[in-house]
Amino acid sequence: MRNDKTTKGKTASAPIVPGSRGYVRKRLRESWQWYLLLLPALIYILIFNYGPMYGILMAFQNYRPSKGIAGSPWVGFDNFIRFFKYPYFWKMIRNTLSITLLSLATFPCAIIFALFLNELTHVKFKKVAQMVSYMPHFLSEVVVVSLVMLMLDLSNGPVNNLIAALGGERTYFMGEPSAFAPIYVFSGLWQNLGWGTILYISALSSVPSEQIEAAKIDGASRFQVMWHINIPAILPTIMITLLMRMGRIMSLGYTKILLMDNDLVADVSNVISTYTYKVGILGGQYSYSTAIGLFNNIINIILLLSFNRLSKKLTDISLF
Amino acid sequence: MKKKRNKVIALLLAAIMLIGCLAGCGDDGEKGSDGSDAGENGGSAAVQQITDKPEINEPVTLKILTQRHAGSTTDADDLWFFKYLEYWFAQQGYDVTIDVQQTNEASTEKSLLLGTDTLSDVVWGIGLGKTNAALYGMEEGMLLNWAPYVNESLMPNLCHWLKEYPDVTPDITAPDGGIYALPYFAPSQYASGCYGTSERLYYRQSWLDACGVKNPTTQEEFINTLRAFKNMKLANGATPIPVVSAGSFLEKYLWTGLGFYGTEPNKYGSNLMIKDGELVIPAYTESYRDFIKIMNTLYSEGLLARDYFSMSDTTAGGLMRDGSCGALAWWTLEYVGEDPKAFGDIVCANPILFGDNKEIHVSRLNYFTADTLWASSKTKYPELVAMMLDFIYSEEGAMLYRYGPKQGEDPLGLVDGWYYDEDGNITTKMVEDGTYASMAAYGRDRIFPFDNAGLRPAVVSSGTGEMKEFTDSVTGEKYYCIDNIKLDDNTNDGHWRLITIEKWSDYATSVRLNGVYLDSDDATYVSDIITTIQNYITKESAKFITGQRDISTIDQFWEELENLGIQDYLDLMKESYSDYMKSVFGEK
Repeated sequence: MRNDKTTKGKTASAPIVPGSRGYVRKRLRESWQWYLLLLPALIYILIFNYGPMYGILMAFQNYRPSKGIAGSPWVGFDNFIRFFKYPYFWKMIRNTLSITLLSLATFPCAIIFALFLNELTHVKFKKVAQMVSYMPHFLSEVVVVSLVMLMLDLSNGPVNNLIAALGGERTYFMGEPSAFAPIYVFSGLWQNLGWGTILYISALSSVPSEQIEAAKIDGASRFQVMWHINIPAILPTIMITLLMRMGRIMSLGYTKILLMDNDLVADVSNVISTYTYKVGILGGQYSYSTAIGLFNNIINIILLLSFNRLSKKLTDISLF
Repeated sequence: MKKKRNKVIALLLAAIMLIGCLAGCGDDGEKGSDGSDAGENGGSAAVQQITDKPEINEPVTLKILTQRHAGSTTDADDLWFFKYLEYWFAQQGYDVTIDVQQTNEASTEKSLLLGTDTLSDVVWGIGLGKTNAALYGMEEGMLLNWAPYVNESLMPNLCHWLKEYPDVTPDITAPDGGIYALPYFAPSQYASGCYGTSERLYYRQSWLDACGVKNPTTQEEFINTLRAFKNMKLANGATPIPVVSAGSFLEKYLWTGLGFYGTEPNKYGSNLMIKDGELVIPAYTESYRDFIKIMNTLYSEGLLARDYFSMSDTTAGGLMRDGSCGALAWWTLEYVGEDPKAFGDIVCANPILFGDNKEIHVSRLNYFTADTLWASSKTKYPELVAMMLDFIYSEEGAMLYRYGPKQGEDPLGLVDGWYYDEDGNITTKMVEDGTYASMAAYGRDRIFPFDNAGLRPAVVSSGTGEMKEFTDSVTGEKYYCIDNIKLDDNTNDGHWRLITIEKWSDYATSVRLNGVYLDSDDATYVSDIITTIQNYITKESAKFITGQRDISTIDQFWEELENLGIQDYLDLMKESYSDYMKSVFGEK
């Protein structure tokens, strides 16, 4: 549309092929203001995202602060080997995956919640419901974990009070290893469910109302409209967010884990991120922790590429 | 026209963002006050003594990173003592600005600063650690070597204390002869320190009386007393909790009763300690079986709170305060409150021989901490830094550091100043009017950043009376403490000290395991293996105590520890401590 407008009235001696140098020059000349606005973001990405990548070299060095990355001695794959030989290596992988996979299993919740919100016709109630569901997102993890502890408190927590009122035995949830991952994941779900719906609600708002009206005239139920129109319409958004989620499958924040940690759950709370924090930040072993981070990212990238390819094959939707 | 305006706005916005972006990218890595890259004053220790005060005519800025106590509400830049230091420098003819940064996350901050070589001129109140001293001082040359500056001319006050306590110098001197951190002296603690920090279990006398039992003296009586506490009927109808512990003080009491000393035991005995003249890891000894049995009994019989393992110190403190526990284990009786009826009801637990143990010792509080002041080797004015730090080793500087000026003597006119109350205690207006609960709280918030730096003035000690002779329980040597009658039993602080001294002074010893210097390879090995071993001991101990793992598998647990390399680690540490152990216990 814009191309038509900007080339109007000009007679080109030769066709300008998209991607050619002339095409790029022409686009720059025509829309330089937009590219100028983009420039700070590009510089930011270059400096803060690409620039620090040279720090990856530390993973292959015995990093010495006084010598810097350029002067530190090379140790090859020693840091990786040390990590693979760490007695808790497999345990940490298993603990990390048990939490992230359970978290992944809750992925559809935001979609379902967005679909339900989309079905609400009472505008005021819809807005209130959305706002109430967003609010926990703005709480810090410290507050969320405190709330969880209060809710699950053995003596006075509402959950245990309810169990006791129903004749059950009070349970020390925070000290129960099998409850650690579910508590972590479902408290996170409670905190971020509303926030996660924003993307889907905006995608749903772009579904043509004519299609929905036509379906209703044809006798489609609300569920059928949801299933045959709304979900296919937001499928690209779902797939893209799912793929991005797959690319973070080995990544898990350490703060909430540390906040929820205690001696009884130490067996399941020992994950890669907490270990990296302890050896890297507290122990000052930067090369080793960089190697662990790099290993983590490589796994994430492999998973991302694999699922991207799979998605392209199955749904024709992919990140690239 | 509109298009042109849009272009101008777009251009302006882009320029602002670009400038913002570039401003954020400026080199924020501080290179010491001179901005130089290379360490000038670190590394090898065999350096000529520097005795002259520097001639500096230009304005100087000294950057200080300091630790703050939890709960501090003021900014470190506003603390009186740092402002006074600027005045003090001016009196000496120097134009010095003190730029203070503060942290409540000392370990993280320390690690980041060392790892990125972005140290301030001075790091204040944050323990360096001997491994860091070896790595970043001896090997990396990033830390200022104080050895050339510790002399009568430049640091006379520090020299005085080093002469007074000759065993400090060897402890703060690295194998290369360098001194990479300066000590904190607490000579008043030396005088009053005839007890340790691993014996702090107390009972409510009213509970003992109500249950018709005496302060227990055996393991059996100890457990039976707690069982009796469990059946107490409280006036408020609350469920009694026999024992409440914060900061693992219950476990420390048990380990002490099992015969371990030398340092504060970890919760599950995963650190190095001494027993029967040997360096050991308590969890890797037969005594661990007794420890687990006792803890398992306490947990399974409901003598501990069921949420014991996730209970915060604050919650535990609340339980101590509201009187729902019969026994309480914590540093002090602070949670019991200032009501003389409440703290007067507290008695100190007897030393009890647990398991098969035959003797009890508790390592006394140390009178110095080796490494709470250190500096960057890149500091441009090491002599000025040395002069400044030496000031807080003087009696005058130490008093000003801890309390600020005397009433009416503040040259800066910033604070009211301290004075003696009717009872002869130091106080100030903001304490008297209730703004602060104590002089310590006032000082930490208004005057100085952190307790452990420089010299603890003698007046701080609770009781400054006559000296009394005591006998070291391990070596049999004589040492002197303040006579306990000088402590005030009518205050909470005086009461807990008195009852603790009464029960424990006969068991106190000066034998303690201070840190050792390791080379970087050994330090990395130890750091690695200790994380693994301690994690494993923690999670398996919790399982044993709660019954998730059968106590009969303790032998197997020790084999698992051996597979993790505990014996290699122990051998390395035995070698590192061999000289010290020989000096105390002779050849074994």
